Amino acid sequence: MSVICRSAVGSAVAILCAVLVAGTLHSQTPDVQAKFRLAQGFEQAGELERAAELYRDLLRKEQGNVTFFDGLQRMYVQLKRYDDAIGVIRERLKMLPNDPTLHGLLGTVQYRAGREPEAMSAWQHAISIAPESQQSYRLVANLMIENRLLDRAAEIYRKGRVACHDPQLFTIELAQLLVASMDYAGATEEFLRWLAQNPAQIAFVQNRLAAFTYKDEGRVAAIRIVQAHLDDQPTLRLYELLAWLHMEGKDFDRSFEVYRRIDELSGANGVALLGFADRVFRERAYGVASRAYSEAMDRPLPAQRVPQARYGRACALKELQDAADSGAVRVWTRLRPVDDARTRLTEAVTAFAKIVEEYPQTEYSAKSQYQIGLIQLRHFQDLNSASRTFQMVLAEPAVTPSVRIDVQLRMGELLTARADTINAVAALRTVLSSPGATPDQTDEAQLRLAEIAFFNGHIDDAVKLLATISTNVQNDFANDAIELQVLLQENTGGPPQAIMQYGRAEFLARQHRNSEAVQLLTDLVQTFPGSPLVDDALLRAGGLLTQAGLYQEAIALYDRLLTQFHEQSKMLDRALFRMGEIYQFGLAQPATAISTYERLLSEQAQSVLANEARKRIRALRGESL
Amino acid sequence: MDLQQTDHLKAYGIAYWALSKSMEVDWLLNYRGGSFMMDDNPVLATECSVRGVAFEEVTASTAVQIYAEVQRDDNNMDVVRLEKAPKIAVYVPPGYKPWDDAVTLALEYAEIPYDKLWDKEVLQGKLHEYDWLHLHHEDFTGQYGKFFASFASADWYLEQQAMLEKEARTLGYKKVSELKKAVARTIKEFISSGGFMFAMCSATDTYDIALAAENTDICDVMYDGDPPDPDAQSRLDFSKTLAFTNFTLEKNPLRYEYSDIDQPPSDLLALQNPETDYFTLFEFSAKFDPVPTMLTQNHVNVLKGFLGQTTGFKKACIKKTVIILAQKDGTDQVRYLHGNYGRGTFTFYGGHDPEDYQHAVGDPPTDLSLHKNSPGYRLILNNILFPAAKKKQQKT
Repeated sequence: MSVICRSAVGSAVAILCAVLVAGTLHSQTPDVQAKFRLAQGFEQAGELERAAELYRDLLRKEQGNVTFFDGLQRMYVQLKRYDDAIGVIRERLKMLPNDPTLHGLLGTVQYRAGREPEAMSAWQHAISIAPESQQSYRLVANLMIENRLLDRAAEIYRKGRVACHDPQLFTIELAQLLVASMDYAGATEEFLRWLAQNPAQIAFVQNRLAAFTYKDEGRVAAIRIVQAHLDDQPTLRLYELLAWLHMEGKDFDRSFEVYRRIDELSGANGVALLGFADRVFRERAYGVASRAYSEAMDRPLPAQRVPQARYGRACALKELQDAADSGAVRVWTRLRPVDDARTRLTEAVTAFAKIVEEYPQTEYSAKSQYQIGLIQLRHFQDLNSASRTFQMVLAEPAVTPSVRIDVQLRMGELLTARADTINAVAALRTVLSSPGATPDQTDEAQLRLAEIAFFNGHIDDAVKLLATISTNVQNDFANDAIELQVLLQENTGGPPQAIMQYGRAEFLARQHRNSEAVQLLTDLVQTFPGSPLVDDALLRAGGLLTQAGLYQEAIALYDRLLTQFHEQSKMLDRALFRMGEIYQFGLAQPATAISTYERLLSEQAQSVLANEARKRIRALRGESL
Repeated sequence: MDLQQTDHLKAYGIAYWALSKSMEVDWLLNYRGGSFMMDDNPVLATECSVRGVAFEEVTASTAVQIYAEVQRDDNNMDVVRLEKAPKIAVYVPPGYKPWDDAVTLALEYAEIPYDKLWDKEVLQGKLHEYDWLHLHHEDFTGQYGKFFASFASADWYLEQQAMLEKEARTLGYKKVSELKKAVARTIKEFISSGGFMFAMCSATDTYDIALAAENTDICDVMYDGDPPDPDAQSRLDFSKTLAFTNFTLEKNPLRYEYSDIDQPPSDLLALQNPETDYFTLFEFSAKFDPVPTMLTQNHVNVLKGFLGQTTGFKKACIKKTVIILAQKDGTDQVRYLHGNYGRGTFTFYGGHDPEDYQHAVGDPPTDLSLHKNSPGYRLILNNILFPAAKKKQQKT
């Protein structure tokens, strides 16, 4: 119980009342104590009427006793006897007319009785007792929150600010209340008000904003408010907050614009932009990353950061140029002509080459060389240049162990493509014996060794090497390993020459001698028509022809599989699906593509490709799924 | 629609699609698990292929034989002509995701269109634009799903509470419970004037509890700001409910249960064994009780059980006028029921998700492409097509 006293005389009286009224049971008679305990017992047992009766008797005898008062009004409220509760409170108010808690309680009971105007009046009265005290507003706001009057509670906080002449009062309370009421703009305003007073606490504010900025409407509201504040008074903290908000929404372009300002205001000379560029690169926003790296370099970036920026930009360029094809091409297996790749990736290669030239014998030089070698190998198919480049990487003093191992893997790949399997095996075995090799690097080496064994006709060795990779399904090569393993295991029942010929064809394909590979595969079909490999051979040959853009020839092979080997093949669905893909992506004949996919559905209804075929049909029909 | 069907759920979608294209569809009740017969049409055949629905093309004479077989007096089969594609509304809150609810999952998978309504639209009278209303995991008692004990401080719970309170105030109600009661009454009017209502999980018992508690307050202080009416139980009016009667309210606000209607109680679900939890569909006369027959069409008659906030209904709490469609053998647990009210009907189906034995908050959605032949989901789709049926004289 609190007593608010205004005068010295009053204070003495109040203290005396407090002593008398602090009515601990220690001074009660045993009878009163027993009655009180009985009342509590009834209350706990849910016999509220009987508890109320006892509390009423007790209060009648000791009108000033706060415990009895509290018990009685509580019982009346539980019983929804609101008028009785109000009567008891009013009686107590006669004794303590300036007790804001009592007025607050009266307001609550009035509200529960459905008398909102009376409730507001009582709460207003509670405030008016000490209108410049924070506690008054806090008390009433809390009562309103208990009664779920969130908007009204917010109004009280705001009024309190004005009345107490403190515009920073109740900032966090109000912010949290506004978040609960889903007034995100209001909540942001309050957090910004708090941030203005505590500028080092930006992480705290971000943490609180994150409670609603994951939602579009929350983030949009927050951005609007922060931008408005920035328009009024631009500060570094606000720019950081705005950039963070845009990043939360993956709006990297907008975030980039803000980071430009951050870099300027903070005098970071490009370092802030560089950090941003690295972040968005990791988010795979390569376009924005590339521009950010470029702009970082246009600023007077500290010398030791420049190679980092240049390397980042070159990597972003490479990803961008690589991703430019990724749409339809990645869906199926059409290889881009080498000339096209050279044109496309020139800028990236030039960027890497400049780093090598200008920063020799550094980590960035080694990494850039590696990237160049990779492009030469994978995109330009220039094995000689790639080989020289990789040798230069190995000669770099600053090359990291991980890059060194990657180079060995690439050399294995390159030497295989040159049909130099002896040296390829040596390079791959180096990886297996390197203590710093990661599990993924080890698995890749194992897979490539298995492939070489297969190419050379050592089927059992290949199967053994594959066994360890395919048990680790987390790695990137598990699928390739399983596919090869299945091919080998399913076809060991037929004539061994068939699988060895298939291996030689695969070897030719690895050397990009596709037409010879296709010839060998079609010969296999001719020579071993009863072999279980015939459908694999026709499908593989069809795939190679498709890669070369020889669509009609590929379709002819698939058709041969469908007609000549209709009875024995279990891969007719794949042939139909690939034909559908050629019509869809290669020849751009949607109607024929649809009818081909439909043929798959009617002839191979149980196929695992049926669902995908259905999706393709519906996409071609323009239906949204 | 027997075990040869490759995708039972999408088959309902095909029937709906055909109706929406003004094709005639006959529902052959109890014929090979309840089949659909339509006139042969290349577009229809292609659509079936594309959607992965198995179909058989029969000659005219075979079709005649099938009809004759179905309509023979000594066969418990019949033909029901489906007239038009019903207009479907689903009662869902804003921000709802279609995978939160078994019926919207089924509708999305079967590609059956539906509209979403919430409190405002219901109170504005929009229900009368629809033939069929679906309710799922709702709490019409205004106790926020009774998640308080476990999730009182969870962001989603607080947000939901704030949203519902704001909605209630905007619509002129001081409490969420009062708003929900008004919505429940409006839905009852919709049924009375010929609407079809289907409810699952907690929408079943909470709906009737809300109707019964029209003149009393059953919500404790954490739900509506004031204590409940101490005489709430005696003030329940069972004459206002659709399906349930003489039930006892759960007074503990921290218990995840509304009343004793729910069987088994939610805090005893851990004792359920998914390996032995099954329920049986009852058989009805297709010729004399076409409605319950339609609602129980299936390719199996013993279905796997599944739990929910409301799993099943205590038989003793069910009104005598209600038809019990499925029950767990050897128990008093009713899983599926149906009844009439005014010119409309209601169906209640216990449990949350027929293919997720015990679905919890935050669990990933069920992928119906892995459950294309789900008998449990088929019961939901029976309810969607049944309003399309041409009215026939029923058993008196």
